[in-house]
Amino acid sequence: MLELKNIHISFNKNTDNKIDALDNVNLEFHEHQWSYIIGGNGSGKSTLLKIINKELIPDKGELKFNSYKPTDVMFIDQTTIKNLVPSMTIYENLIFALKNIGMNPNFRLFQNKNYKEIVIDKLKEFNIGLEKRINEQVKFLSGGEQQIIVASRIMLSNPRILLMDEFTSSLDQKWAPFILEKLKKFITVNNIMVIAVTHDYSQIQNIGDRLIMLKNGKVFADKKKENFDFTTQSILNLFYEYE
Amino acid sequence: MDYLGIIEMGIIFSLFVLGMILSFRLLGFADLTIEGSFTTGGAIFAILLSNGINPFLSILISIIGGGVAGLLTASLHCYAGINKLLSGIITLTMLYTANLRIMGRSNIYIEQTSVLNYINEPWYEFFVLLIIGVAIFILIKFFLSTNFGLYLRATGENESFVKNLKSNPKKFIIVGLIISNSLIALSGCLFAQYVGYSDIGNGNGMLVSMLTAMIIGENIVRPTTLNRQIISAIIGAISFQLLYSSALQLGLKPIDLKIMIGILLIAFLILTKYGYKGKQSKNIGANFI
Repeated sequence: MLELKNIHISFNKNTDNKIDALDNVNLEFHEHQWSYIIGGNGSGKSTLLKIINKELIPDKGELKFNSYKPTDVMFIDQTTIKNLVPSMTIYENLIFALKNIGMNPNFRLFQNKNYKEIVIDKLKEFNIGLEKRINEQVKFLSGGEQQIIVASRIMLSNPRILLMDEFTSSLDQKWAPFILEKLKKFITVNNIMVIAVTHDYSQIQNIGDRLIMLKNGKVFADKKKENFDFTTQSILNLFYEYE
Repeated sequence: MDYLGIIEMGIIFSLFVLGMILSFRLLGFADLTIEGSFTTGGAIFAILLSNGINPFLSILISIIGGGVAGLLTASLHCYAGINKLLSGIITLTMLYTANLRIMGRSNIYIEQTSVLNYINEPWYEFFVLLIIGVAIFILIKFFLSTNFGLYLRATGENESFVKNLKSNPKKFIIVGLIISNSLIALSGCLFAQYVGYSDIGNGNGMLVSMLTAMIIGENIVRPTTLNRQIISAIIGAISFQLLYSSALQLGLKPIDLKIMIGILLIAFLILTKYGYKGKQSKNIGANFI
């Protein structure tokens, strides 16, 4: 379990523009649970992810990893290319994920038969032929293809906690469900905790297990799939209450 | 024209360009220290040799001297939070005094027998430079082909990617600048041996000259892979030296050379920047221009 206890963080301290980005936030996240964080602009969604990723330190409160470690966390940025090294090849981008089998900054050669087989096998799962293009630079791939490389990186890294900031925001309706469904299957099998920020409510019904709505840095609603209808309409109704 | 001399000087400068590729291109760190480390390499070598120290040991210590300069610049940026350009300028300025202190005066003539003039035959000098050049290029190729080298390249293009891998990008910046400046000090040390003296002004204008050599190399050998990027260093350095010698041969006065180099660099930078007609470049590494 990951716990956030009485988390408070503010920006522009000691100025007239002081903003309480998160105010007295108490949340618990569990393994095997795909939690969606929604809310308007400036509600504190991305700040919450950054605190869990240890990019920001809260002014008050406690972040408890319990059985987890901070190194168990993987963060996926909303801009696809920021999750990749643009001029590196598909293969080079993906082998960074193989830390569990020695892809650490050491003096082994990165052109390794073992690494290559693992990368090719993973790309084959997506069945769009990327396994034949592993020496292409990722900056020349389409947005959807780049996002598949990011999804493959997640799967090869096999993190215990996955944070995603608007993961599918740059994808159209063809790619988004395709990639999310693949990820959902992988995450269920591997008991991964997912905390995802999104503005695309249509994906929540099929993928999400929990919905947290933030308003002005506070938790406005926290709904589980068992006791709330995750349709887009219900979520929009929740938003009207929010307004 | 002395073609053997052009190739020999090309090999010496290719080590400089290789160092620049590491910092400028792969780490995305426009490191101005390099003009100073080039002089430092020659200064340490000249003073040690004139004090009777073994030439091989003198070369090794001059390489370490360059590495220390790189470490200082990297530390200023990584730990003191100083901007990359400013970190380099501060170290460069400090190196001017350091180099004068090392030599005790503004120049030293190298009269002793050293590595390059052990046998007084032109083929010997060429052979030794070739061996050193090939060995260094193989070592750097090996280094960049390791997991560490891949992380270093990732740091240059996307530092937050490396942070998200729970690795510290500072480590790669520090090691990268140490290696880069060590290579440049070696280049300076070989240059001092080749011309027979070390002068406080040896490094003046070297940054722009070698940047021109690097860009020429990249325009001839499109560096779309690591191997091509490494090869571009030697092609660029020799081509630059060829152009330099041709300009002198054609009657250009030495005092006008810096203007010629500047114009050449501007032309190649414009060619690089606008030559792709809106298409993304296939070149690897960071865009520091």
